[in-house]
Amino acid sequence: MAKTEDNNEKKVFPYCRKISFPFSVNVRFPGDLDYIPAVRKFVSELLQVSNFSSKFAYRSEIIVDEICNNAVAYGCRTDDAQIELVNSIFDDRIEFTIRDQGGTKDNLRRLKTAVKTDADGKKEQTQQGLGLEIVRMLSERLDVVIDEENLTSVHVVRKREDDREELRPSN
Amino acid sequence: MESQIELSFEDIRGKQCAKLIRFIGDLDATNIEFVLEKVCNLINEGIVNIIADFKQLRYVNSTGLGILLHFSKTAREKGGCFKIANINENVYEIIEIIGATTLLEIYDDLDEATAALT
Repeated sequence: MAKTEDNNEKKVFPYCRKISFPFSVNVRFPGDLDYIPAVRKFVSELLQVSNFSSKFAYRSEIIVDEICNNAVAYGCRTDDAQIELVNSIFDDRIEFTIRDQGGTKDNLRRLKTAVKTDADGKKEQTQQGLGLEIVRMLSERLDVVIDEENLTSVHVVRKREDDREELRPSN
Repeated sequence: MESQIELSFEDIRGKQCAKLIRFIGDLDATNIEFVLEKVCNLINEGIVNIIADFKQLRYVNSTGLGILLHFSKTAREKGGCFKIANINENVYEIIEIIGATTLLEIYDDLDEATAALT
């Protein structure tokens, strides 16, 4: 750990004195719901020590929670399934990419339907649709890619509050 | 490693079949079963008028919102109500995003929620 002469700075950012953007932090964890609270809180703290606001960190915590929940619920077919969350942090935004094992055909069909339904501006009543609706409202961009082997990758881009419009609740 | 949530239950003076439930911590997919069981047991025992104090509820996700809507619906079906008070700005924002502010009964504080109990 780098030593610092500035005691105040040391108290606030003990392990992150100088931040050089962009940087990336990868988190890999078992496909189990019980790991998600620790992951989302880690991301929230990572953002706060990277000089993002607590509001931004809170909203990002929700995004991480929702995409991780989706990955566990619909993208983990075996007990040893792993999920990888890539947090790419820029000075003006964060980008999350989450990759899972890939779900069953039925799960993937439901995921595609939820994404398409939301994009069309209609209400999706499933829990999955509700989570994605929240992610969509809290972010600038939400992309879901399903490759030929059914591996699912969700990419979310969220900008700093100053650079985006205020949230508008859905009707 | 599940999220921590605590529920505490208190009678509401002068109100029949009513309880105040204080939610403390985070409400998410790791603890909804616990919360669901506690609150549904209460409703099934005839305590159908519920005030939920969210003063110390830091966080709620879509799964948590789902069960709040469930409590509201179940209590109403049994002739009661599920009222929320002291909600923080962050939690309110999430409820607002999904357009559920009109589906849930939300009050600024406990006094207002209690006064609205029939």
